[in-house]
Amino acid sequence: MKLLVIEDDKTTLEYIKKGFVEQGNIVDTAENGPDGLFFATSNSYDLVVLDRMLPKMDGLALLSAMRAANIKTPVIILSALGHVDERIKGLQAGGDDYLTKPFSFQELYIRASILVERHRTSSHKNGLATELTIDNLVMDLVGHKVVRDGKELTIQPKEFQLLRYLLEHQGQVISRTLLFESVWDYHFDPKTNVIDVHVAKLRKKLEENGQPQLIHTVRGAGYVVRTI
Amino acid sequence: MWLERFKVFTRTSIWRFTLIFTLIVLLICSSILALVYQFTVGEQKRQIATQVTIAAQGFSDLSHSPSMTKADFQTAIQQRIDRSGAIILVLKNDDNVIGNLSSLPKNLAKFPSLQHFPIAVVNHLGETTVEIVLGTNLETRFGSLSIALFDNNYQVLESRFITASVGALLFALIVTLISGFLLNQRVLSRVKQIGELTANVKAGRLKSRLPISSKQDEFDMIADQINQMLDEIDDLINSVAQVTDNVAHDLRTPLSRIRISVEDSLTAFDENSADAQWRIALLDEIDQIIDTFNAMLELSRLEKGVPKSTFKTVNIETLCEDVIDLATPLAEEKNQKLTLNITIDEESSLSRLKGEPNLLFRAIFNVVDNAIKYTQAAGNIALTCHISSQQTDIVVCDNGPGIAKEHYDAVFRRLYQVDSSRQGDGFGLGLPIVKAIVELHGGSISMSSSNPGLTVSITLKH
Repeated sequence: MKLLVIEDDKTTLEYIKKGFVEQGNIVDTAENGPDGLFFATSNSYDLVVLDRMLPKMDGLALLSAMRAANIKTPVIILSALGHVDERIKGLQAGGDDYLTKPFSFQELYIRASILVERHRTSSHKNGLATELTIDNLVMDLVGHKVVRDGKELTIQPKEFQLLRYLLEHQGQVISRTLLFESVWDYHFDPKTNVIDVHVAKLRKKLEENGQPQLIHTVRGAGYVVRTI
Repeated sequence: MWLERFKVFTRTSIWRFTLIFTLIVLLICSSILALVYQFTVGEQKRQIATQVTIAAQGFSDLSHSPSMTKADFQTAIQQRIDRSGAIILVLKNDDNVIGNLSSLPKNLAKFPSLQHFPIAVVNHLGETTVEIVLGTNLETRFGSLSIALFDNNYQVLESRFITASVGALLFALIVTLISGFLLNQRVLSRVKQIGELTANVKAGRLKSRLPISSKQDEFDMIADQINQMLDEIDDLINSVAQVTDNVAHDLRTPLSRIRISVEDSLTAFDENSADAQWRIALLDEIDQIIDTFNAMLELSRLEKGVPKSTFKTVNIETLCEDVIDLATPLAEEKNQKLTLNITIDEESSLSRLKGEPNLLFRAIFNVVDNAIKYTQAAGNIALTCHISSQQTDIVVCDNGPGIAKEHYDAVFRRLYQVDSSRQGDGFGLGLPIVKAIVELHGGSISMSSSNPGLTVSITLKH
């Protein structure tokens, strides 16, 4: 994918650029607001990573200008301001996600991939899936049922949502905070191992009767659903 | 309640002062009245007594005169009666009784002592009235002579004087008591303001100040001093908070650079190699430091107040259910029973709470998470939520070891550790953030014992 990173701190900029390039993406960079806006309006990108505080032009002003110019590219806002109201301001200005500095590149990458994916599917308008499958597991989204190897599993509503989110992003690493935000729809880092406990419970149900593992832990990053 | 208020009232120093002052006023009034009495009523009384004494002395001298005969003495008496209708003279001896009074009291005081006694008088309209006279009894060789003078003027004057005096004293008493009461109320209300302020400050509301009136009286001076003192304390606390904020903020940038470098170097190694392992452990440590700094900064931010524009209607029922959903597996791991009980007075109350759902969720989850963490295995934790029209009460109650009463207030302070052995177990910022969130919503949080265990109560006003 093709990205634009607008960030004035060189260390952070290099770090983000390097990370995305290593994953085989094309990255354009800008170090101030006006340059960033110029790039964003003159080229087509899959994603913009935008620092909240930029020289010459505030990140949110840039974002508003972008949206005013009818550029719908998904934007992840990076900010040292982690407070709830700042997050709300960022999302109101047209941001699609908000990440507080310092962040791990893994977290940024996971969120970037998911945003790009979501943007693509929504623009293609595939229609809503009624069923998700992996291996011998079938998830019936209409009937709220999970069947593995022909046997229906007893699954709690939140576990259902967890599994659904993981299955919708098969093969993608999902971080704990992202999982928490998507399933519970609250924005903060619960700090405890609470998500791990939920995933462990779900995993145990999925692996009943010696079924092979589907949810895998990625050290320092999160979880991924894949066969083997 | 009124009795209680009255008791409080009577215990005040102002009330004692009022009573003493009233007593002094009454004493002064009484002495002035006594003096006036002496100069007016007393004087008149003495005059009549003098007249009676002079008359008695005159008759005594007359009776002692050697040339005086009984008939002459009786004539003198009769003449005196004729001359003045105001004098009463009765001479009584073995032969007869002469004089202008038909009956005399027995045992009338002997001269020179005088005595008041009543007599019945028929006035010119034929009505009988009782009059008071002052008289004495004089033993002469011509018989027992009773001499008396009408004392009515004095009587009327005295009774009027007493009525007026009692009235004046009562009036003085009432006026001083009422003014004392009003004064007391005023002083008491000022003192109460100071009491309320110190209670507020003790409860951590350092922004409270005393009102200062334009009168510039001694209370305004004290209020001004107290306000200045609080400003100073507030400034000091703010500057400490500002310094820690700056430290946290300034250290975050180099820390995130370190984090970037470490994470960056991680890609060169296999995930399970020793080189990767210690780097991952290092990242965890760095993340913890960053988390603490973030929590400190966030706490300051919350204490300064988040704009209320981000507030919206919060469905606290769903929010509590979400908290339980999130926390249940944690409790299950420790075999604990985690229950939720929601009561709603009226369905319409559900939409009354305004707030920031993310912050409220975080606050309630934090309290529940603490309860799970500190309650022993197989313990009980109950989250109850009562929604009334006025407020929402959220209570988290456990049967764990609880904490000692003296820590109840202190646990809400930054970086406070109840037990030094618990160090490293959290950063002592969780509860201060919970408190800041609750107060941001205009609510209050308190702890109590659930015998055994800890009860944390959060009240959010609608």
